[in-house]
Amino acid sequence: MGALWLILPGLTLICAGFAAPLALLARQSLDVFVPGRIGAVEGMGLTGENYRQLLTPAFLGLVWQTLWLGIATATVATAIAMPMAWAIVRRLSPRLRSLMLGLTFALVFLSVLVKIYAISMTFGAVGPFRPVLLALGINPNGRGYIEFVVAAGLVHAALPVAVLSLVGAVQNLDPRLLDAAGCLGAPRWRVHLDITLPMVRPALVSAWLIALTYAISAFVIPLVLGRGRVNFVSNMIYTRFSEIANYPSGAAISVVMLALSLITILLVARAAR
Amino acid sequence: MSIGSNTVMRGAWQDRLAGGLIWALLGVTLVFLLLPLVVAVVMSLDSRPFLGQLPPPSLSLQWYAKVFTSDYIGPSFATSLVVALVAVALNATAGTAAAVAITSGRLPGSRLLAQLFLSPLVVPAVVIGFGLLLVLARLGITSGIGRLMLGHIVITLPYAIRACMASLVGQDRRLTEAAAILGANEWQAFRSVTLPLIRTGIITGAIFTLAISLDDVAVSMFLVDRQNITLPVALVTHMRAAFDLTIAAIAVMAMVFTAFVVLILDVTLGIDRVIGQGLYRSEKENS
Amino acid sequence: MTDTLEFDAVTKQFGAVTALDGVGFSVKQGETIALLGPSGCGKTTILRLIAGFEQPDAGRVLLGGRDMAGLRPYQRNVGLLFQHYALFPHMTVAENIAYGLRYRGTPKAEVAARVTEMLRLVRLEGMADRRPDQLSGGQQQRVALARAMATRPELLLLDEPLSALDARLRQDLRTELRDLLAETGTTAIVVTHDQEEAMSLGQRIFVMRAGRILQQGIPDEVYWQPQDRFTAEFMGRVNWLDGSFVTGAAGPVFRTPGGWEIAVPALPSGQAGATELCLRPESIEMVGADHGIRTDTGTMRGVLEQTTLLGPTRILSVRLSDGQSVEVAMPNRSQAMLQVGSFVMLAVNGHNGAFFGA
Ligand SMILES: Nc1ncnc2c1ncn2[C@@H]1O[C@H](COP(=O)(O)OP(=O)(O)OP(=O)(O)O)[C@@H](O)[C@H]1O
Ligand SMILES: [Mg+2]
Repeated sequence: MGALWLILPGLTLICAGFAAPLALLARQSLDVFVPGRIGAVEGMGLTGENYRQLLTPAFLGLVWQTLWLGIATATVATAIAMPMAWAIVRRLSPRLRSLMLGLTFALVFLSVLVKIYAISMTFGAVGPFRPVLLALGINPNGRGYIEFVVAAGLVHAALPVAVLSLVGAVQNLDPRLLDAAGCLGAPRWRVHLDITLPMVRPALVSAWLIALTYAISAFVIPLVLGRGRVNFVSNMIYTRFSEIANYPSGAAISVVMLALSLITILLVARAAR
Repeated sequence: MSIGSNTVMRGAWQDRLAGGLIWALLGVTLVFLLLPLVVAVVMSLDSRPFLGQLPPPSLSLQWYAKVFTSDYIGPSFATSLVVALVAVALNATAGTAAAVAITSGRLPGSRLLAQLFLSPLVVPAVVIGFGLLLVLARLGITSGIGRLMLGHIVITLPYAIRACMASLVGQDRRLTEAAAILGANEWQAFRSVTLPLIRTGIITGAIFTLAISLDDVAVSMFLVDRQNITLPVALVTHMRAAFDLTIAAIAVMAMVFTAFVVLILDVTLGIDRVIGQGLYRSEKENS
Repeated sequence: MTDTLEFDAVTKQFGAVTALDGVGFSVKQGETIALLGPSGCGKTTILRLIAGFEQPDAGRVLLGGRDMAGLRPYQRNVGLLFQHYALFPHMTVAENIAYGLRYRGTPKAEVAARVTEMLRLVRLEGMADRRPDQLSGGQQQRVALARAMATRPELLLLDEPLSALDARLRQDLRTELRDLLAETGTTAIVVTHDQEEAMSLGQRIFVMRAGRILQQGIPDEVYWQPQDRFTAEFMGRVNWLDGSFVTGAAGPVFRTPGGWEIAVPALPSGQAGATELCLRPESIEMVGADHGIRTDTGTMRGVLEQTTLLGPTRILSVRLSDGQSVEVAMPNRSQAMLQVGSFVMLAVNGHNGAFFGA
């Protein structure tokens, strides 16, 4: 019986703060929207209207934007993190290795707000690169460039985490396997294609998945770096709440977003098997 | 068979090219990661009262002084700190207790329970925040710092429980049994054997809790009210409203604080040890 | 004709550790040599230098007369069998064996033929599609061997090829490996810390210690005529007898402080002052209980203190009446007369002895 008492406080917290909200979201997404009102209006029944209203090119474009930028940044972050983890583990002297690990650790823990503020100053419309951008014919206020800055923010946030999660996998890769391949005549780059990548594939997939779920549920990065021009689905939930106070619609978007991230996780997990 | 017939200098130049390209990529990445932070440091020292081109003509600490005289930073920081500390305290108690219960093996459906406790990890924070807002509004709770506390506990509890469970799973159940045979009751056995062993788990969980709570925007955005605003929410609002270099000063202070914490972690726990050296020597080729 | 391998005064340092200190030797075509030494003495380092994973700090490595300096592993034609095999876990047996051929531009049909041939050589027909984790330790060892030999390397390096196997299997595979190397005419270096393995596989043995080669020679020479205490002890059980060399009536003899005399071959010049005789246990024979008869040259007497059974042989520890202790190897035929504490008579053959302490 002791175990039951031990788990009760935590269970209460999770039920009240997590299970109940999700249940209510699902329920409320089926409510009829009455301007200015939170909660269902008695006797109005259930409706699929909130979901139907989402079938607009604008919302689908938003979903596409979120997915596309998420996949792109997760891929870039993982692709860079792999050689980086390799270099840290296998190529650096112990001192440099400690230094780089410490730096990566610090970047993981550094506030995302600090990162995006720094990025918005550096790559923003008035940052030090402004002359470079103008010289290259890039409009710093153009949508394409803003998308790039949002992606930069996502990569900046996801990369250190990916590096740390790959460091372990690289460390546990037996270097003798690579020596064996080299000794049998494979050039270094072939060795990495033939041996390293297949061996660290599970770690790569999980790093990619972590980066992807992080990116598609990102909120503050598109909020600040997107400058209102580039939005993610998460931002739209907030707008539904703060600007037009349409709670049933916000709930419907939340359900869609939850489904989106769960489906992504399941698909990737299945593909990795 | 002679060497030449079988092995020519094949592959060497591709190797060097690929190696060079990768080092270059890593260099660029390092610059990408660090340059914004350097820019923030430089701008925070700008002596001009407006946002101008880099580099600043002269340096000053005016923005740092403004941090301490600002009317919103102090109170919102206090709110953040209180919320974070409450979350740490509750996670360390309720979270540790739940982790102990789940791993004790004396609870039916412990696998399912573990999944329930970890599931907030896969739900976008915005969804949690919005759902909480709806629940609390339904209960008539439309203001108060308690809303923030609940929200922060929900998003940090999985991390605390996971860290605790990781250190508990690695632990040998026979140790507590040995303590019991030696005459300790359950609580004494927990205090004298289990707790010391899962201390690192609890500390790890607390560090994650602090880091996530002090940085959260997505959940807090829905739960703040006029009296209770967290620092990140206040900063985001100001970031979007006007370009104020006070934020750069705060950012630099956060960097210094983070570096300091990591340094302490390195000295006390040893980052190399936390991550582990791996099974194999580093392959130092001197070719 | 040039040697297949010439290792010329090579020094290798890892930070403060000197792994190799001016090591030089050469290997002739078709020959198998054994590198023997305790853990950490630098055996693997020698192989890694030959294979090109490390570069010497001083000295040269020549393969077929060509200096290997700066050549990457894949630019040398050397096969290496790793200490724990290092089979690619995500490839089948056949893919493992074919791996090296892929990078030598071998035509597809020939690759398949060569894989089949190698599988037959190591007697693993029918296992081509298994993965390494579906094989026993001995089978893995043979796949590793097949993979290393498939490219027909100019020189095959074997790093403790049998150490991961249990004792029985080790003996079987030892014979198999020796026959395979002979059959294919492969030039090979076998690294081991097991002196039996070294003696049965190597046509020549190089004894190493702390980054140096102490002695090299054919197995019998290294076993019977060790040039230093370390080699003597490392090659097997050994007795050290104190005494001095004198010229007796019937030729040179070794006289112990207790007055026993052992006939020995003429001392090599320069060892006239030797004070120790080094004898293998099998050079001493127990001839029976001590009946207190007179003492001839070549006999000793003492008390049997302990017996240790090693299967085919039994080791007897005998305390001589002058206080020295010797070990005697005796075929394990009968258990008679082995009362601990009884007096025994020993017959000593000094002609296989080695001399120390000059
Ligand atoms: N990459 C390296 N970095 C640092 N020291 C090394 C490295 N490789 C070898 N050493 C050191 O060099 C010495 C010789 O090592 P080596 O691996 O050659 O020994 P070994 O004779 O093969 O031993 P074993 O029988 O245990 O395999 C050891 O002291 C070892 O610690
Ligand atoms: Mg070795």
